[in-house]
Amino acid sequence: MNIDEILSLGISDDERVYAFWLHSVPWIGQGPVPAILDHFGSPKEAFLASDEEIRSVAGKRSDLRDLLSYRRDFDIFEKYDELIRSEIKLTFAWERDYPERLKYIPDPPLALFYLGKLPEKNKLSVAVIGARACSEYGEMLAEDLGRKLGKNGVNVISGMATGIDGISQSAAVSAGGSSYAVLGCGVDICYPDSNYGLYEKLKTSGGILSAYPPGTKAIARFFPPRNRIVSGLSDAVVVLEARSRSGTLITVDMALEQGRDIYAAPGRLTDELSSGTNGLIGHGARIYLSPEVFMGDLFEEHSSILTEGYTESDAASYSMKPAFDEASDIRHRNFTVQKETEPEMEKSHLEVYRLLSLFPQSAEDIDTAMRRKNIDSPGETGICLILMELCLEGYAVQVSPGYYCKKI
Amino acid sequence: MFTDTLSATVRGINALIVHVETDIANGLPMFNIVGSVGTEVKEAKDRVRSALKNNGISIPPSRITVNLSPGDLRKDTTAFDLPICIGMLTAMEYLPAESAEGILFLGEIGLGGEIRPVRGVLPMVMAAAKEGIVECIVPADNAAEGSIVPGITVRGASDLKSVIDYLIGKDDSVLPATHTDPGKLFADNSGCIPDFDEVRGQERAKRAAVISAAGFHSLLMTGPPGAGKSMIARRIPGILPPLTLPESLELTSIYSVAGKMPKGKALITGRSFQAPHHTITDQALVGGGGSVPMPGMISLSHRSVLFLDELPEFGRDAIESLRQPLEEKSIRISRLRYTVEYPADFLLICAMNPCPCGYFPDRNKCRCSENAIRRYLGKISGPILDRIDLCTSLKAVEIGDMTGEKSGMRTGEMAEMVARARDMQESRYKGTGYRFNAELKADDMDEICRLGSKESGLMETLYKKLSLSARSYHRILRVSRTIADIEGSYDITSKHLLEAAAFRPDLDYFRI
Repeated sequence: MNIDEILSLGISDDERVYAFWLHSVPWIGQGPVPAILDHFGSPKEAFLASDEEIRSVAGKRSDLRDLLSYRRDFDIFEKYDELIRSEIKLTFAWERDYPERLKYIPDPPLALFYLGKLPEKNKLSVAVIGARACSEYGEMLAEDLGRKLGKNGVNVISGMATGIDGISQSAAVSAGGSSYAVLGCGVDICYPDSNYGLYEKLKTSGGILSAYPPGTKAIARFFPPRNRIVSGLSDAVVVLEARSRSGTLITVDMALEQGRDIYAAPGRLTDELSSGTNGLIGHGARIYLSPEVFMGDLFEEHSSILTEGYTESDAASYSMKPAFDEASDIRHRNFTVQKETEPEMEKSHLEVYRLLSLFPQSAEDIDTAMRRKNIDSPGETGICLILMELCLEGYAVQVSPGYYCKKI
Repeated sequence: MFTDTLSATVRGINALIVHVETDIANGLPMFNIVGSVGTEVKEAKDRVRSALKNNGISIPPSRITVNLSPGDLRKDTTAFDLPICIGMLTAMEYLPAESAEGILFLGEIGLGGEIRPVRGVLPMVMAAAKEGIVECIVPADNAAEGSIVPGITVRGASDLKSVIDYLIGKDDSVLPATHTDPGKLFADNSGCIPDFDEVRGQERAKRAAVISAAGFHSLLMTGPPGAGKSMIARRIPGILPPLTLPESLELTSIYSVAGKMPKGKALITGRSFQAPHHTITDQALVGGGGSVPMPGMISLSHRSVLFLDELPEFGRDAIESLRQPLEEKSIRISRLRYTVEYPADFLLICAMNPCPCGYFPDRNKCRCSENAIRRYLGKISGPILDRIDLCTSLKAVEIGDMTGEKSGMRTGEMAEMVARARDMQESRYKGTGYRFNAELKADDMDEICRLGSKESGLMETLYKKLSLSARSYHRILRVSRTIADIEGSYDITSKHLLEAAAFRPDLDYFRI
């Protein structure tokens, strides 16, 4: 049973409590729910049916036992009331507030639990994803992109994981933008707990979404299926750093299946953390050059979303690029591609500054580089002093004891 | 008959004179030793009896009582064997009573009468000299150590027979006095600490080592395995100024009490280097154990280097127990009846990997998750991190560094820098009770680390931009004072402040 057929069942609001029961068990994908709805026609009928009948419809599944025992052990009306009274909200695929973008992906989640808000349909959404154990390079790219997306009113969608995910989301929220996290556990559980600060902020500046019922523990197998929701909620997916066999690439597969544009940030050929993204570019992903260039493309290609909101036609022809409309309000959005200008500083400082990059370097590395380039080196101690001053002036940042990066 | 023989026992690194009183009286034959004695002393009974028998002296079947006075002082040492023996011989009138008068005896006795070395000879002889005793007879192996003390004759004996012969004849050739010249011992103290020029590259870490040695600042080195952290630590004793005689006597006393004196050595003349394994117990680290608390590693590295490699792997209790000695430069170990105090003024040098695998922030090699790194860094105790003044990171050595000509600073020039800074500190702190910049208290810092207006401005910027705590603010001032001292500068300049700030332990990093 596909989504259109489910939508055409015309499930009414009165049946929310039964639909809630159908989703009281964490399903991988849609689980047996479409089959059950197909057979019984409505959640209520299914609830009133016998165990045997449900079993015969859903086939042999171990998780079905949990669904049936839930019905037996709890008063689902009470449970539903409890949910309604809590800050956790719930929406179903056949309801009006259900995110439009999700409706038309293959295998959409039929229920979404959430805290905060759901992504607006008339705002652009971008998934920023990447490695959890990312490098300083990835961290800085994520911070930069997140901040600029946030400033320009683009929703940042990600998985709230450590590394790229969390950094880009935090940056977007700090810049005053909105961000949405899709979790692989219940929305009432903050996973990983190190991102608790972000979790709290997302409740007010965006939302926390999950297809799993509240209380679902973070278990590895629940994570890959949530990635389809991350990409499904987005108009484009940006991969900032990924190893060649990374979980991030699962999201990319899902995004491709859903017809989303994939952008990958190139990295040095020798960096393992960029091997995945470089590989994506090799396979035809678009190159992520800078937040400005990326947003230029994004606004140009999806301008209709800003004026008319996300529509079915967007869904139907996701790969078809809408023509650039001069009259659309993208002109009012003021973003310029910043040229990197060298800050004004003493010559000796500038020489050190030029050698800084997004890859952590120690004073010794810079000394070696200076010798190689036949630049007069002020010695390691001298370089250290200059680096310290650059840090104070905001041109450099110390990322771990003795290691410095350029600040962007 | 009743006699009184002199001996001594150690308490901490000091010693007390003990009177060994022996009484032989008529009555049922028995042999009793009284006066708060431990097992070691109780067992002396059997050793003394056998040793005398095997030297052809028979003990009369009478009531023998030995009292070790002061009676309320606990005694746990085998050094009383010899004085008990001599006390009995005089009480038996085998030796004339006056022959042992005014002589202090120390030594463990074997069943055949041989005299074996004991712990704590140096402090005991020092105590004897202070009490006006003019002659000591100690085990031959300990004679060199005891003879360091001026104004007292120390004779080394290797068996009971020679002691008896000497006491009867008072013939100097039977038991010649040992003479040691401390000056000479210091002179031939070279070549045991490897040179810094064997460390290729790592100039920043070497610089940190100089600053650390100059101002007695504790140092933490992070870096991948094989970067040379241990090599650098191993060489730091070589750039510390040579031990002075009083320092050396103090250190030798600790070694002597701990029974760690190298065989045949009279004095510890070089700075020591202690590198305990991370499985060390807290007692072994700070001292303690048993009925007699022994000096731990921190006391053995008094005025020297204590190197903790793999800092996060050390037990929390062991590391936490370093807090008091780091503040007070000594450790007090309390037992129910008494407290001993051992000096523990050590230079703390620590090393650790930046993450469990050791290669962070090189993400090509390091695959540790953020969590794993945080957990790893979180294992370091915060209060200890708070007491570390300098932090530096080392890079894996590249092949060019190992084969190239570049070897950088040598021990000689580094030691000169340290000596210069020490001189500055000595003249500045005369009469203040301070010895090193690392000890500076916040109250005195305004005076000693006075800053010009430009420097004050920079400090303010540092404070704000680096979001320093009051503690780390003072730390930077202290370290910058040392850097200025190394350069021979009376004023702290911006350069010194910036370098000190670059070496600061970034607490945010350790608690990401």
